[in-house]
Amino acid sequence: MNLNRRPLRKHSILTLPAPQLKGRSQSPLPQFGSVAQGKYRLIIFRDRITEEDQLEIIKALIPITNRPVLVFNFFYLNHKNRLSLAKLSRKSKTTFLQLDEAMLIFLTSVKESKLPSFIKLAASFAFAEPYQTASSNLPEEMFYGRGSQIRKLVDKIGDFSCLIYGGRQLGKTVLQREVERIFNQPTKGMRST
Amino acid sequence: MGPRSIEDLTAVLIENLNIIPGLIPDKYSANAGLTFLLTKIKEWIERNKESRIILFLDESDKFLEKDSIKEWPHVLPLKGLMEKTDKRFKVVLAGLHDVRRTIKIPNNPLAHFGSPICVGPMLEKRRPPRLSC
Repeated sequence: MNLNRRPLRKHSILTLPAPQLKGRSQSPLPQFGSVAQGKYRLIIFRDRITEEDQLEIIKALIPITNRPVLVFNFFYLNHKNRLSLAKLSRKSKTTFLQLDEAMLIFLTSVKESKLPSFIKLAASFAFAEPYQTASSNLPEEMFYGRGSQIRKLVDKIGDFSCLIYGGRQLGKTVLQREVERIFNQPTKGMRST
Repeated sequence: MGPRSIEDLTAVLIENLNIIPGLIPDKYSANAGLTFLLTKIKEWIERNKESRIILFLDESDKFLEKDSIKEWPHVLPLKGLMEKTDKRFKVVLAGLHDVRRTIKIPNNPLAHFGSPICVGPMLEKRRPPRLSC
């Protein structure tokens, strides 16, 4: 019997379709919320391996997938293990969210939707760069403030406005796209372009 | 491709508004002008009593400058449709500080476009002083 025939796989990679999350209340990180569009790549580790080995497997997957990576550990991570993996992911700037048995047990007690709760919980132990300065295509999770301006642009009477001005790169286009996102409800006959 | 003429505005608007079912007819003349488009928008607004359209014209500095020279052949009809539809069709013009300067041109139609919104840096509001006993 040849025991060296084939190494036993200790992890599996799957595609996880999920409901599309929208807004900061469901995911504070756009990568796992509106940008993910309900499609995730899932790595399942059945047996415990070192945090360094785990990170190498995750790092090898990230360049060949355009989906955010979720890591399910079918074993218990103690506080030290969890912080160690978080530290390694931050050091290597590798973005993924990890679930382990302890977190899973906690999530069973949560009354709200599990995926948003998992994302909020796991984000504390993850590296993610949600900020962007170059593009006007800002994910909805990252749009803050400008409430009175949005109201003026939508309103028809009273203190309404049809004019926006300001210097470059200060958010004029992003403001318009946010109004468009809020206002555009084709089923209710609300259109913006 | 160089900058487009402001006369191309109608074609650009038709292209963008085509996503709204029933607004632009399947067949229309290649020379369809702004009057044709605004008539179609008005008809759509009248047919769909609960509906609204907000049209954003971003980077509109040059457009406003050129339109003002020709005595507003585009802005005036757009403003007219806003008024006829009680702003259920609303146009929002955005641009650099030139947009604000345009408002200062005598007899410009932008005076009826509401109070201009200045988009500046988002600065933290100063906290009120703490009360002490």
